[in-house]
Amino acid sequence: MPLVSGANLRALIFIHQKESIRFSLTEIELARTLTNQSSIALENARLYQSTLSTAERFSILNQASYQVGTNLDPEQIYVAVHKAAQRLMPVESFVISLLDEVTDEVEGVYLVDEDKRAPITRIPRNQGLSGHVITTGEPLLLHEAEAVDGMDNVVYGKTDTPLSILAVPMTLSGKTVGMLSAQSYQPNVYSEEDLQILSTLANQAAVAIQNGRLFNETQRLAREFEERVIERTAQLQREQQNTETLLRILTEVSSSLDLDRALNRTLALLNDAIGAEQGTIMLLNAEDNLLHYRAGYGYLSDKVTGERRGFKLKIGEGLAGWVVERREPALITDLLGDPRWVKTSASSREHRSAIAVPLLVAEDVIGALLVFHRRPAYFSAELLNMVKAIAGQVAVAINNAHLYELIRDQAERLGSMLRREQEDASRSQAILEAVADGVLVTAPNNRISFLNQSAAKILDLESGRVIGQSLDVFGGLFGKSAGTWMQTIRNWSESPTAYEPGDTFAEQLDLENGRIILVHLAPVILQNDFLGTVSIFRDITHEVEVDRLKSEFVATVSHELRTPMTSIRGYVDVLLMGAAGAVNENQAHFLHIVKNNTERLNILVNDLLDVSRIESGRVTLSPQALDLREVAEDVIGDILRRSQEENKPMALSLDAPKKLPRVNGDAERVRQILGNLVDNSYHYTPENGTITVRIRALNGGHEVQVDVQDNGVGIPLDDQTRVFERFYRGEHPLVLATPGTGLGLSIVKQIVEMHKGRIWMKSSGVPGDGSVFSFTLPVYEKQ
Amino acid sequence: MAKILIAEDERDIRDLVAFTLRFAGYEVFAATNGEEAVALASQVNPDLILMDVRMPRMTGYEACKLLKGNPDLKDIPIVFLSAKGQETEIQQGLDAGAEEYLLKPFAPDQLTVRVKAILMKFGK
Repeated sequence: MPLVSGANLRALIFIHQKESIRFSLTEIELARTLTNQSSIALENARLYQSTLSTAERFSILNQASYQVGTNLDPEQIYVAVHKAAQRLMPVESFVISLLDEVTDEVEGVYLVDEDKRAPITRIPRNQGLSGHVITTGEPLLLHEAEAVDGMDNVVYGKTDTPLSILAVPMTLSGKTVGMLSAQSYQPNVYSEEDLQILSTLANQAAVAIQNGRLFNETQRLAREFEERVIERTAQLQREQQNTETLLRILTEVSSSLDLDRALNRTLALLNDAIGAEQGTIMLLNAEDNLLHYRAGYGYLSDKVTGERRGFKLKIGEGLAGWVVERREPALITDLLGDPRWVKTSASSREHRSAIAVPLLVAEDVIGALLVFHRRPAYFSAELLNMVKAIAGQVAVAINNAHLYELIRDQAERLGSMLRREQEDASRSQAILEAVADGVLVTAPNNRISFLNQSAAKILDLESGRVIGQSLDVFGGLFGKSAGTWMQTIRNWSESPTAYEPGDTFAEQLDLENGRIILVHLAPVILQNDFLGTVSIFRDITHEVEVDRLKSEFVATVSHELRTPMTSIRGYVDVLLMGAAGAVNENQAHFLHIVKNNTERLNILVNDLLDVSRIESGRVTLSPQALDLREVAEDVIGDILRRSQEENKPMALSLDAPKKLPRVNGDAERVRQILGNLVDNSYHYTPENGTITVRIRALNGGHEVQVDVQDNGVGIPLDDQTRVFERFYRGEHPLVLATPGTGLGLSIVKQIVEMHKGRIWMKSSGVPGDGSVFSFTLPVYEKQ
Repeated sequence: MAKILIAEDERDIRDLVAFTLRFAGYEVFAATNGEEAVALASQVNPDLILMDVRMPRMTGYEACKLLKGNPDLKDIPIVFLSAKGQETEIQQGLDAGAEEYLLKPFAPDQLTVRVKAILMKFGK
């Protein structure tokens, strides 16, 4: 009887009997029913089995799916896929290959043969099983060796080629990305169902691997990103450090206007920032146009010698000279091979790397900044930029410092000048205040600019009320007596050129309060500029009074002396006349002695009165046009008479041109002058001597000079400076024998000077050579 | 013989002048001050008056002015004989109307010469 399941015949049931009997219909029907029942039972059992197996497979697939899906590590994904395949089908070799689209190669990422892992291999895409499946995108199910051999297989693991091969593509979004292959060394192992299962695994693996790849990519990107962040952070940090260094240098150089300190600090900071071992600054000197070593910091600094301090380079010479000339920086990896490096005793032999940059302020090069290191190729282009940036700041700082120095020097100079001027002014003022004489200063505008305490006291004024006042207002306080003084100031201020050096003005002011003030006035002229006038006041009230008393005293004494002298002289004369009876020779001689001495006393009294009156200014001249020739003839006539009377022969002569300009003089006083001089000559020349009076016009006709020359005893050189002194007389016996007071020449000198003339004398000092007394008088000019 | 009046407070000098002039042959009258001199002048009507300047009671100047103010006496020449020899003093004397101003100390013979000259000038 057939056991049919659906349309398929599943089994046959045979029912046997030992006897040959015929089965009844009922028996047959029964058998048929039994068979049908059995078929149904069998089918049920088969369905049950099948259901069970399918459930198990789903479970495994499910499990594998979970493991694969939850894993991102490709290696673990590979293993999970392999393990799942093993549980679902017979697997002896297992291969996972992935397509590398970049290289167009196939990478065998998971090759296991009988539980042994083979190393990852890469093959070109057009080779082997993997390449075939990936390229075609179609699964492959091979059952026999022949079919496998035709596949151009790449062999790994056992040298035997597997007999059964199941290979499916791994597809993702319609694109084949790899291949999964289960293999067995037994023939006919794999069914279509296995293919389906492996396909399912392949698809899940593809997704998982893609996920893993994406994850890895993400991770790699994250890592890369992180690395870039770290790298960028480091870069930022460096930049920040550089910026900070720059900032510190900037702060340092801009906060310190002391150039040396700023440069040293800058080099220290720069060395720190870029790791240089020595920094040097050379500056261009405007005077010699050479680069001078200015500052250095680093390992050489301690060794810096005088030679290095005085190190100089021409523009274009050496490394510093090169950058200054070219106005461009230089980055040198090894100085030993660089022709620009000047090898002198002052330059270091240890420097290897260098950066040299010019110091620029606007268009001007002011020097060079150099940094060095003993290791070759130490500095990078980045550091060069840093040094350039710093050089810019340093240049500005140096420029600022130079400007600051300039300004400070200027300010100091101005300050000290001002201080000096103030000191001078204060000192001058203090001196002016301290003098006992009154000082009044007028400005060029004729206003009073200064009046010292003494002046205020002498003039009985408050200085505060006078300063700033105009001269006219001030002059008004003194009435008429100040007129000439005020006028002189006005004249000088109006036409300063009218002033001749040496001109001064003196006037006596009689104040209303009875005081007598002597004022001396002089202009203040500095390099042809009229700066005003200075008047000096002296209260001479007391001096004038004393002088008056003295003169009065002298006059009184003289007068009182003249009265007894009149008696003595008169009675002696009467006796000598014989009016009181005859006198004998001896008596007459003695009476002559008395007479001579009386005469001498008389001269003394007269001279004293003259001196006193001249000095007190009470001698007033009555100048008139005077013919000196006439005066001289008169004087000579007098002396000739005396010469005869006294029996002292003397040759007197007058040497004067007929035409002689007349002088401006007081007749009596001029006669006194000439008379005194000729009288002296007569006295001090022994008998039979000669006296010559010589008169001639001088000085373009403005003056007349009179010489009185004799060949008498002369005047010793030692005495010559004193002959015009009061009471001075020589010691020659002839002088001593001559009555005299020593006042004559002093009076003569004063009278000559009152006439605005000059007087002087010459004598060799040798007796017999005599002497020459000369004086001048101004020529009379009609008003 | 001319009459000469002298006014001088110093006795020694008065005597000296008087002696000198008498020795020269003149008739001499003497006064000791200006007041006396004025009074004596109107009494004796002299030909010449020699007058000291500084005298008690009345100075020579004052006496001179008085005499010159008197119509009867104003023509008598007056000569001052003074120890005061300054220009101003001399000028003052001449302004008072004096004929001459002679300075002390004087030489008697010179005085005689001057007196003789003045008397001749005035025709006396």
